[in-house]
Amino acid sequence: MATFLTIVMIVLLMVGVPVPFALMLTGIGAVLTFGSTSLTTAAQAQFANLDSFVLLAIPFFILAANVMVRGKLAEYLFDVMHAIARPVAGGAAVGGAIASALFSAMSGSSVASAAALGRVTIPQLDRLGYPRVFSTGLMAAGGALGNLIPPSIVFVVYAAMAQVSVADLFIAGTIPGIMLAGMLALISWYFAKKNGWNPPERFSFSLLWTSFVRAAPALLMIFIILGGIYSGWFTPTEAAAVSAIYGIFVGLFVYRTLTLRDLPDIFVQSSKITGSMLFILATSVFIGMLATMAGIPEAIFAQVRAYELSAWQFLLLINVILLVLGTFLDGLTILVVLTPILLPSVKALGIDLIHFAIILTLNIEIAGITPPVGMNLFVISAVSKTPLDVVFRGSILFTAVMIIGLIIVTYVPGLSLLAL
Amino acid sequence: MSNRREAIPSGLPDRAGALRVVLSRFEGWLAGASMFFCLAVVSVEIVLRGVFNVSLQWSEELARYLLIWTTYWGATAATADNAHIRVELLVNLLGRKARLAAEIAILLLCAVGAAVFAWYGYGLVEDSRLLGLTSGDSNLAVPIWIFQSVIPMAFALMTVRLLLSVLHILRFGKIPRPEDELILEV
Repeated sequence: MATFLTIVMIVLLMVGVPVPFALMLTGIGAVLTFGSTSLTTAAQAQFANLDSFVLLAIPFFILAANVMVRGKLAEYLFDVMHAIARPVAGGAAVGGAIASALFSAMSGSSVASAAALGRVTIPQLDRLGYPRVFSTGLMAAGGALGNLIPPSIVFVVYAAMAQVSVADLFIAGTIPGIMLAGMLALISWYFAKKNGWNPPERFSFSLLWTSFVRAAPALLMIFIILGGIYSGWFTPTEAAAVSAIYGIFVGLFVYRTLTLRDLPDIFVQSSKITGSMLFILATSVFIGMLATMAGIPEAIFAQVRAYELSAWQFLLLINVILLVLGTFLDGLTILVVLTPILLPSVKALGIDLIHFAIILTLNIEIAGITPPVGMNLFVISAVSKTPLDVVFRGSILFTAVMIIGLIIVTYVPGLSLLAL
Repeated sequence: MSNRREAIPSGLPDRAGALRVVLSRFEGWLAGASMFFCLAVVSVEIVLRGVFNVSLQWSEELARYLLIWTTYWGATAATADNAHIRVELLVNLLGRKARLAAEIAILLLCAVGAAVFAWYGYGLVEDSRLLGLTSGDSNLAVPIWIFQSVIPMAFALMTVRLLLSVLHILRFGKIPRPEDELILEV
């Protein structure tokens, strides 16, 4: 029966039933067949699954991202990084990659990063002679750093599910995130040099200074969020609230890209995004219920034992499965469905839960840039008005880069765990 | 709003469409307001703790419940917009007629799920009310059913929304989507 329900869930997801409803319907089915709990309890369990102070970071980070997407912050960040990278070949693309990492350090959402930076950088990259197939792929991948570089919504959701510290996850994601940004920058430099796009330009201190002054409020925001979390001054939830308020303040009074009249709309939009994300988390409680009733985590672990999988073989298998799932499922769904099912095996194999989170997150990043379903690709296509098939082709090179990064992060746990 | 631009084939007023507009203001407003108060509560706590070194015992709990309100009303609004995350790979392969039939079937299936939780959510609220349960940490001496009431209300409204979407498809031959798409305003 449990196998049947699992199949029902997969079918519901695949035929296009919205994810939270597919999970809910499966949950109703599980309660009715197993009868070990009531639907009233199921309603209560949904409510309880959201009752967490940690999760509060999510609406605030979404709010901050929505404020920043409207403002000119992304443009100013790009200008500074471009000014620094001018003397190397492909300076603008390198600057775009680094600016993506910096924007990720302010925003918890990879879609927001891709949207905000893609919109300002791609036209500039056009002007310097980069083909769209390259620039859209780069900015989609750059946006994908958003989940790995703290603050990150994915980390918050995982922390709530796996009962680990958000602050630890934020620290653990930093070095892998910087490494991947470096890899994107390196690839940009290599291809620009090889193809003669965007030859080195003269470094200009005055350009750097003026762009730095304009970007200073944005850079200060990174300092407040990360400094606050690392020093222990703020909890991640409080840092998220501070970043939202700081973002609104800067938008209203410093950059003046916001007016008070925009605010109600920003709150409404942000709450809709929060609602659609956290509703999935609320209904994911049914996956846990079904999995427990059916003994799925134990069954998986029994297989791991039967094949005598070691930790590294298990991780390889998980990576392959996640990469395949990621081509058509979105990251959040993968996260909420697989985390409860896999955690017992992960623990039993002695894999660090924080390290596993980083691996999972990197897979989610890759899911966002692999066609046919990749949120970042859709967003980049929309903001840059590039046909989807061009963006799809552009994503191939950068998916390969990210997979190399994934292999490194998987087999060098120190990258994630050393800073803890 | 989007439905003003839609041609009304029968010449009759689009009453279902008008209801959609009213409801979306209502849900959006509730979700946005919950989020605003949530941010306000957390911010006040930060200031009090940082500046005056005092802490409101109940603030964290209230913020958590406001998050739940934000989530359910936001999810209802997202339901109205048909903006929930889903795999569209297979339905996209269908022809127009088959696609609309599939969408109607999916919407009705979702409506069943939402209706079940509207009903049992109401049961939950009744249970909590009769047992006189107060909120978890009891720093906030408020009956918990007040916060739980979002479950039956939001799911009932979701059911209405899903059925309105079915009506919309039957009438206009397309899935209702507002201009304010879920993806960040870009």
